[in-house]
Amino acid sequence: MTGDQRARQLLKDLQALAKQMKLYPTGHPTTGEALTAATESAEGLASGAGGEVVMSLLTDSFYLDRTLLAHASLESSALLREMQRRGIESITFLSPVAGADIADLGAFVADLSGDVPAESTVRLNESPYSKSDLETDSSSARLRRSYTRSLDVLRGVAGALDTDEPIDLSVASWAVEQLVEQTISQPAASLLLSTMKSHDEYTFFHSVNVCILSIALGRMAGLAGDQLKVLAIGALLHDIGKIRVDSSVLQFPGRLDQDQWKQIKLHPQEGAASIMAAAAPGQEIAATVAFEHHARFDGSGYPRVTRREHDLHFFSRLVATTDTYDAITTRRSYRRAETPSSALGVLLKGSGTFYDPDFVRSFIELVGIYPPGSLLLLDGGEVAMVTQTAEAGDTPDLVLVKAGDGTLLDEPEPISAADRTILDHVVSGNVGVDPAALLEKVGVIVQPV
Amino acid sequence: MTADLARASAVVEALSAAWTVYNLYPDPASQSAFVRVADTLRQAIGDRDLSMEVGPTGFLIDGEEIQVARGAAERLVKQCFVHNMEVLAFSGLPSDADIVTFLSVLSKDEEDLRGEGGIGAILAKEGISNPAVVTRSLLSSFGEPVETVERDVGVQAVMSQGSNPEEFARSLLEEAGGDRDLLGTIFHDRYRDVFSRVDEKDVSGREMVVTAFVDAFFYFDEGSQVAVLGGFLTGQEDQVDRVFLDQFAGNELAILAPQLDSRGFSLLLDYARIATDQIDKRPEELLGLLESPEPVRSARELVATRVQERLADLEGQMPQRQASASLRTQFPDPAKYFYETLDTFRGLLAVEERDDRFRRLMRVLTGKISGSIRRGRYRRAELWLRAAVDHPTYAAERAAEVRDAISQAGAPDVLEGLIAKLADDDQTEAPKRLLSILAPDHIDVLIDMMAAEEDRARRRTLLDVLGRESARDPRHVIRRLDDERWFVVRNLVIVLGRSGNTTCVPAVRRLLAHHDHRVRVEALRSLSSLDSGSMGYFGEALSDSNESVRQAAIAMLGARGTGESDSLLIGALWSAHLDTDEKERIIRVLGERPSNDAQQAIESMARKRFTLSAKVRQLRSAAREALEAHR
Repeated sequence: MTGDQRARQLLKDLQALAKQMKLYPTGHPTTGEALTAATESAEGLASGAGGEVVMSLLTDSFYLDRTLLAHASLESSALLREMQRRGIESITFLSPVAGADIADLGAFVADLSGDVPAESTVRLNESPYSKSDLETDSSSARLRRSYTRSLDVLRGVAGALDTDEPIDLSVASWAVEQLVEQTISQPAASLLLSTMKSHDEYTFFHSVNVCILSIALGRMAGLAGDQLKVLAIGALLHDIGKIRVDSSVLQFPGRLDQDQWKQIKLHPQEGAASIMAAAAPGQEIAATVAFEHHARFDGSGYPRVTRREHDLHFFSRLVATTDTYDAITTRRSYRRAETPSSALGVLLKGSGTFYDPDFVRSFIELVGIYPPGSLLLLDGGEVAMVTQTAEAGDTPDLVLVKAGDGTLLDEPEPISAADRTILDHVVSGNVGVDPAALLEKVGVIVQPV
Repeated sequence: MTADLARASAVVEALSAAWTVYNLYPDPASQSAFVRVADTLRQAIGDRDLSMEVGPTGFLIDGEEIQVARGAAERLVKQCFVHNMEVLAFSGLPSDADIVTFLSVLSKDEEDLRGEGGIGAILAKEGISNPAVVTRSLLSSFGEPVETVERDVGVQAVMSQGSNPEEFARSLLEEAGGDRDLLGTIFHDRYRDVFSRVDEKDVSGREMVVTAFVDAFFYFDEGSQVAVLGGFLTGQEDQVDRVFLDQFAGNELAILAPQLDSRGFSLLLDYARIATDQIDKRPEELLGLLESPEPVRSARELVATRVQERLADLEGQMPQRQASASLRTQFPDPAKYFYETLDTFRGLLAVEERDDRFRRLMRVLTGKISGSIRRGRYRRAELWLRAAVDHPTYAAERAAEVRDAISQAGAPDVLEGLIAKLADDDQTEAPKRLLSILAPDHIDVLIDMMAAEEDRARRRTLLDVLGRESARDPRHVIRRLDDERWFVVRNLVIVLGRSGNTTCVPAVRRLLAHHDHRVRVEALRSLSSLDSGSMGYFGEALSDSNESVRQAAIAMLGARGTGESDSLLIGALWSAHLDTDEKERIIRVLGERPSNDAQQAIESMARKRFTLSAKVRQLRSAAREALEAHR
């Protein structure tokens, strides 16, 4: 495991521990298990870093020493806020990490105690790094913040739906406003960030990705201002009905039987009804997007849609395109991710039947044959990542992320695609590269869509 | 030291030296130092096979550690150990390239090796069989965290075999003794057996088992793959078999399609067609590839090519039109969002078959109607309402639920809002129509509002609304005529009077006996408009104990102006119940009537000669004035 992966695991374990401690005392078996897991993760992290490691919290991000934990910051944003609320600015882990010290930390995070012993193997706010060491106000940080907020919106909406409480879409409106702004100002970076995946929170990450892709596509088509915002709300919430679908069906390992499939097919109407109930005037069209995003261009999908005007709504056709693209490029339960080019192939195959050909074409114009974040296998066995969509007939901007001998590069190196042969697209999970995590390192060119 | 140990020691020394050179130079094969140590290694190996066990601190032969002086040997053995090598063996002489490749694989990070299937798998991929390695079986593989779940021994075995899929594949092939059909059966049965032994909740366990079998599959030759695939395609309706099939990209299956027999091919198509309805739609691609006449190349390469070809096709198809330009002509009009939302709502009503969810839609409807009214968006409220009732998209048996939901929208504050709006501006049609829809189910609320309303304009609006409702059905209002508050009853009588509904007459007539004269007066007025034929109750009212009632009766009889009304008034001139002023008023009324009876009655009054009482004189004067005025 890399340091980043260990840190992600530790944060997940700490979150689980704090949650568990709120329910049961330390002596309880399940709390004990959570404590053991968190202690092992912390020890793995500290010993793997040479005996001491500092995890800092600043603005919306976790840092491992000076390195931004991009994925973890998004994944564990709730824990981040909770820790910040408790005044934690940094946590230093010293190997060998003691279970009792992790228990103290868990209790502190869970608001069950007021402090952590000063001389323990887990120390709070003793970071040697200053704020200036940890860059937080970069354009990419702002983009990540927008992503996090959108994730939080979805988590909130899902929580409300889960408990049958009314959902509040005013926060969704605010969050997508930020995302629209960031996607317009940093299109390439946004597209790169939209390769972010999460197995645990597949629907949420997928929805934010679809939102970003939809904003970019809408912008490219010429939409502006309020229309983009309304589109973004629809895109962000398009799959929210899945909250109502039994998770065992969503994560079912294989082809669904008739009953399971019936359940899945209900998610558009579930989502549409929930959005419609909560949406303020002007936002209600988001329900249409949720309702129609699987209806297919030729009407052969689900549910059967009958409209006053013949076609599916413009926004629905747009989101159907971006939704398919992101779904195919994402690994889900028992499903391998496909490469971006495979996803584009599927879109093209369905162009004119399942998908609006104009949107398919525009989407390909937007992301190119090699979308930002695509990983390409080069003739020397290296793996390169696309940072910028190529103009027609041109080659994409590449950075080398993995050497021919399989070594992951600490710092991606720009290379010219012109004198290299691209052998194949590869799936990020298969080569151990998380394109979205490289956002800060590759410094993609900011160029309005 | 035995001869074997001495030979092994020389081999380890040479290999360690090669390892050092490899780590010192970027291109070790071109270094003369490397060439030298490679030769030394080959000499040490000689013409006999050599197999060494890998321990944590050194290499061993039959459990005995091989003594080596070089420090590099210790680093080498540690590197072998962390890569889970159990045995390192030489059979024949490795080339320089073999040694470099082996060392390059050995130099990789442990995580990377695991991620790619382990050192054995990578060496196999690289085509290196000398040196050969045997890896230790681990319960935890592929970088998965160590599981704490209890697993069946057979499951554990497969999981550990999964770390070396080539070996796993080989063992299965050996078991089948080269018989492909038997391999298909063994593979299929083993997969199902192991899968069934993993606890349902052990998701990662199941995934590892499936992965182990899928990865092993790819180490079979195509003929064997086809044999294995056949069993799964036959069982594709079974969930466990489907899990296996679903691991393949469509194009991976498509590659095998030409080699399937006709039944297998047909089953593959079935699988693809059925799976087309699935979320991923990958099998669509499969069908496309199956239809493709060109030989199947690397699947990804093919798709990338097809993307470019299709783009070119699109260019050809739309030479005059850019997609974005085309899309611009289809931009949604924000002014239509609302109507499109209504379409969606109707769509939801059409597809929702579950009772609880339909009820939820009804709550949405109620909320939308009442919310729009509260915000003063009357037209929107009306359109929401009409979306539900005009040309219903739902089953007829749902109609009552829809009506009820609409009715629920008529909360008191909502109705008040509508009344206030109409009182301010009675020309706005939408609030009027909304009230006409909401009012029938809320008559009591409206009556209560009317009872409490102090604003005249709003009260008048309420009277109008209730009047209109009573024209259709006065029963609600009639039921409330027993109200103890006189003013409420009076207003209700006004409502009934305005309704024009003659079925109200009996109820209103009963109120002529109401204890409050104000109610009796209104009852008379209402009857005057409701029951033009009958006037008996006016006659009775002329004898009412209350002056207001009597005066109202006089006025209304006068307004009737018929022979019958004249007769009643003439008769009242001689009634003891009326006072002089009332009779004088009757005389004035009759004076304006052209009928002979009226004129005769006045003349008779005017001709009275002997009048002792002042009251009679007053009446005579009035009669004479009336006659004079008439002339």
